[in-house]
Amino acid sequence: MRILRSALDLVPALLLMCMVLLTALSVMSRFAINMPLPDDYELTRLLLGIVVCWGVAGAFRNESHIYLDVFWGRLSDKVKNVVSRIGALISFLIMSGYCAALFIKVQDTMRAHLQTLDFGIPIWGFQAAAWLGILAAVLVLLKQVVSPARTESVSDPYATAEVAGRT
Amino acid sequence: MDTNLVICIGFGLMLFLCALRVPIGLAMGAAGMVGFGLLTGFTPAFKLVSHSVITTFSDYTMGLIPLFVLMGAVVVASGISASMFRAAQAWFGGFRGGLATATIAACGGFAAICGSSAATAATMTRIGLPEMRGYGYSDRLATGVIAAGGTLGILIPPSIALAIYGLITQQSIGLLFMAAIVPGLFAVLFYMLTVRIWIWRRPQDAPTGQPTPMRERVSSLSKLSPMLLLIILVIGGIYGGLFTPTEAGAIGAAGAIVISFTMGSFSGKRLVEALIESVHTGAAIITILAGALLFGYFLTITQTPQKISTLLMEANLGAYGTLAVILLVMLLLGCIMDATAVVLITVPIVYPIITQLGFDPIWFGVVVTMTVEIGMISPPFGLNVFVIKGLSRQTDIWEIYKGVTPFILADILRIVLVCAFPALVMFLPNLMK
Amino acid sequence: QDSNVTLRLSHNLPTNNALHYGVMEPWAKAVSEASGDSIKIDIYPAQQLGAAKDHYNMARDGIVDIAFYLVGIEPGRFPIVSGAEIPFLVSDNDKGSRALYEWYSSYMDTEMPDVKVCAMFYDGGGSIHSRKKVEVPEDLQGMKIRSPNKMAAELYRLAGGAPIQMSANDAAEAVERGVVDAVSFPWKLTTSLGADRVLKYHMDAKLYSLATALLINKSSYDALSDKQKAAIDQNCGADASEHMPRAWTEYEDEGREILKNKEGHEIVSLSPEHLELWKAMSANVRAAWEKEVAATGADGARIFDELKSKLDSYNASY
Ligand code: NA
Ligand code: NA
Repeated sequence: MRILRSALDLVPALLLMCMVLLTALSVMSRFAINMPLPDDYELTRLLLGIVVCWGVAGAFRNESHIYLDVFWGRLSDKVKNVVSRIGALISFLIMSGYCAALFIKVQDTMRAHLQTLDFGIPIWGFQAAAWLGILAAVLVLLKQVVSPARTESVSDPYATAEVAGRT
Repeated sequence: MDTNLVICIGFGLMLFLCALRVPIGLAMGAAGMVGFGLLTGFTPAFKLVSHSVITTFSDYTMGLIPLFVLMGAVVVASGISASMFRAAQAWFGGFRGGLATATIAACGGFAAICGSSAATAATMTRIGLPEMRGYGYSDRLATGVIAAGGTLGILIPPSIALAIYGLITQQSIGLLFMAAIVPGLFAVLFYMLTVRIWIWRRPQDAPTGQPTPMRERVSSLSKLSPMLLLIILVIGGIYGGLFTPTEAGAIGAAGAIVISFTMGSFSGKRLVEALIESVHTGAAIITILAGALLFGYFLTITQTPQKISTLLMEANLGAYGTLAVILLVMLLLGCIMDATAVVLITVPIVYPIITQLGFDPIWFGVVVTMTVEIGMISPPFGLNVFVIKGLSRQTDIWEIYKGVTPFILADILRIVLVCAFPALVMFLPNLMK
Repeated sequence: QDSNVTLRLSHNLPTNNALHYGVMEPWAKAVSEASGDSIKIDIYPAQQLGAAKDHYNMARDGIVDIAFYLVGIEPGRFPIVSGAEIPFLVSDNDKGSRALYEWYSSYMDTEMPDVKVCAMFYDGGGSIHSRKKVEVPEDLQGMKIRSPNKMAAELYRLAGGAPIQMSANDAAEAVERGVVDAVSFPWKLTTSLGADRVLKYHMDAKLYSLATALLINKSSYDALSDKQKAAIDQNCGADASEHMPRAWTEYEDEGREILKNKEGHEIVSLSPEHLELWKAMSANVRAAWEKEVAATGADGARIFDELKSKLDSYNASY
């Protein structure tokens, strides 16, 4: 379980690092030897797809998603827990929908034999890896519906605002 | 089904789901899909989700969001942001209220690395707030300065809000970033003036500072020189068109990582933490973008923008009257909603109206950003205020809201100024064209 | 009396492009009139309902009823039809479009079975616009060049250039800053995006043409009355394919005239010897394509010869 949890964080983190390196290298080789790396555009965007899908799962676990807290923030702790659980249930249903939709998309891409432009790498593999992230998000939400965390920090009105990365 | 009824169902469902604490992005996505489905059948609507979500998640330009977030996160984790604050303190800290002015300057400097307001506010709360408290600043002034200074994060490039505006209106993100530089500098100046006026009215809120010797001032800057070079490279590179904004994000992040490691205050563990934070933040923002796009398709087939446009045109308010109404609505939405969400909900609707009225799309992007910025510090839902409150539990939240009020006035004055003199915005991008 | 229907048509270009006002709007109007106004077509331009590369799926899945699709935009997906984009193939885009449609008629049911292919036509076509003069393939050596599709990218790579993928807007900006040395654009786009401020040399050749298709969702079509179906059919097929792109071709050709008459610009015409060099290069692109098609079990060489003789018969071959 713990390995799964850290994989949920580490896999997209490493892939984001790959995106940084790939894009930075491509820019440098474009200037240094007048040659961009082949397929850097496609590979960067396909990696991003995986990073985002896995990140969606991680963001559900860390409550890093962006909520409209104006109503919720005014509720009592007890009601808050109830509403959070309802929200998790609805999110679970919506993400299940996304998950099914994406699964169909992966099959669709596989049947269409889509490839990257330069190397001709099949695209469906990237999409399948991304889909695993969405599946993880569904499982994270399922856990939140079945046994939600009722810690102090979740019931604190301002705790979620602590996530520093928002716009 | 009657289209107007479906429009109401779509908007209603979105708000209802948001109130039930479904992430805004998912609420928009689900409402968009239901609305689309009611008009075209649910199989096509489901297929729309299957194509559009993955297309958004793997859009090359979206890559700049996690990359610029990463650049900021690395700079915070390596302590370079603290050095920035030291340097600002050395240069501006010498007179009464100097530390407050220095905080504004540090916010401005950090904003040139970080694309997010909340991150800027959080960073400066950690570094600047204890410092100002230690010198005997009132909480009202100290938190007000940080909350307002934090909003510089989305105005001074790089800016996530401007990038998102560019993504949905297909305007050049590079031009938008350039356009925001002069208004960003004006924002810094106005905030500094606000601090001066505040101290003139309420001198008890701030003590006199101690001047720093010139030699130390210079050395504080020299420590920052690699970072300054990186900022110049990133912004100059976009300005000069040497690389696309996404590439600039990668160069910025890679550069920040290299600088952090060479300065010795960084570790592999901190890098991984910064990466994980950027993944989550980036995913959260792109989830909203994907949802907004789905909701946008629903708005498109219901022709909502045209309908609202007709309503506004029939009201005969004139170009500036219409603009004022639009900005007011955005301001009000900003009071209860995240800035990203406001941009994503309103811009697709009002953008055609704005261009039809003859306003420049780049200029409007900057004005929109300045408008939603106010929402980040205004009650009842001011994200920056919450960030500060979250990190400094003992502070009374209304004290913070009182603290930001003079800065909100400065913001409004600045918006009026930019509307009166669009050249302030368009000067740099016009040079670039 | 037929019941009134409204169909959604989606394409990827802005409303000031001839595709919108010169091709799609007249077509929608013609269909509407032929149906006795019982069909209304709402046009959604500029990727308002989905990304350009999703348009085949959008028509297939009923997200829209009619979609304008660039057949080469999803590399690997439709190997047969992508042969129509091999460089230096078409000289006359209107007649070439007829040839394209007639040729693909025997393959569309197997390669694009999920949609009704109403018409197929070439875009205005484009060439190489560059900082330095490009006359022979060797001139591309070491040049960073924005390619419009897979086939042209292949040609540039074979010639020793470095093909770069980016959107037209990005390319126009990149070219001004020297990041890209040359672009493959249609003529009008070169001026309208301002890429001609630095790109002074323009190869006078229809180096590439993008093949496009107007796709109709099958169940949307089946749900129409016989009279309405006839109204659609009457505006589909080989005649429509030849007729439809005219306004678009003229629009792009106008761009050529603008650049021809513009101070400081050189239209580089290819001598017959130089053209042979380019065609030899393009034969290698064709060989690679034939291999790809062979992998799907089809006979690439035969398929290409069919297209070539169709083009020849309409005098539209390069
Ligand atoms: Na910024
Ligand atoms: Na607010």
